[in-house]
Amino acid sequence: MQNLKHFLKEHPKVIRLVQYILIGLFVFLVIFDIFLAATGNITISEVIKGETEKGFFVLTYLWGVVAINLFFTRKGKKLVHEIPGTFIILGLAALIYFLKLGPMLINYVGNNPTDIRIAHAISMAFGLLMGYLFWRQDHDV
Amino acid sequence: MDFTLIVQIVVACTILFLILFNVVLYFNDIEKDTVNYLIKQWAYHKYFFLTTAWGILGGHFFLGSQVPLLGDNTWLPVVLVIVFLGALFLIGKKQDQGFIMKRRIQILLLLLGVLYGHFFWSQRHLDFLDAPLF
Repeated sequence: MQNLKHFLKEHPKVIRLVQYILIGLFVFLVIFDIFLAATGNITISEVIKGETEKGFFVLTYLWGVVAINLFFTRKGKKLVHEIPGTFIILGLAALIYFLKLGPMLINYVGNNPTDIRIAHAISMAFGLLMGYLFWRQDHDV
Repeated sequence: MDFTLIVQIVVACTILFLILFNVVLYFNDIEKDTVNYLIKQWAYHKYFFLTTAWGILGGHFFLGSQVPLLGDNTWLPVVLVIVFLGALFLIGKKQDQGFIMKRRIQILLLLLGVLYGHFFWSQRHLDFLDAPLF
């Protein structure tokens, strides 16, 4: 918190602006989703559910990677620097998408509703693992 | 009107915008102004409800029990999400200025969120589950 305060003092405008953009984006998505639900249309959740069930596992993988990046910091040594780390993470996302690893995993695990959740959980866990290895932030809180 | 394509475009644009925005922030003159950094700071200080929220979204989007604990009630899980996150927000607000959330509790908060998304706010419940359990 001291760090953030120090930076806020030095660059209050940019950081405030980024914070407001993030909050604004979040509020926009929530209002958009409420609008969709209230008008009886397909909601964001349903669209994401539909896409992942067709094997769009980039999303489940990114969920895991981002979870570790945002919420689990690194206290020890870096395995790779953050820029190569980012390329590894995005490269793996591209591999998952272009090699159609999602549909392959669904075929392998099975296509009924229980199996599909297992496939999703595997993809989420894979994202968490890759985030843990290559994409953690410093513990400079 | 079918909103599927519009929703897909909005979600894709949001993700792309965040990636590009973050790249710009990373390479600008000001240090530690990236999206990741700011959210991490929030989550490790007073706003640890964000960790749970991310977990809930993961469980809700990608997992989801066939027999959720509240039945196929559509609004109650959402109300409870707001109540839980609001409670965590208020608990965070009450902490001292120098409060830092422990890392292992972050994992616990994330996991609790996933479990909530899976067992309470499921999108994949069975169709014949017509009455809420209470």
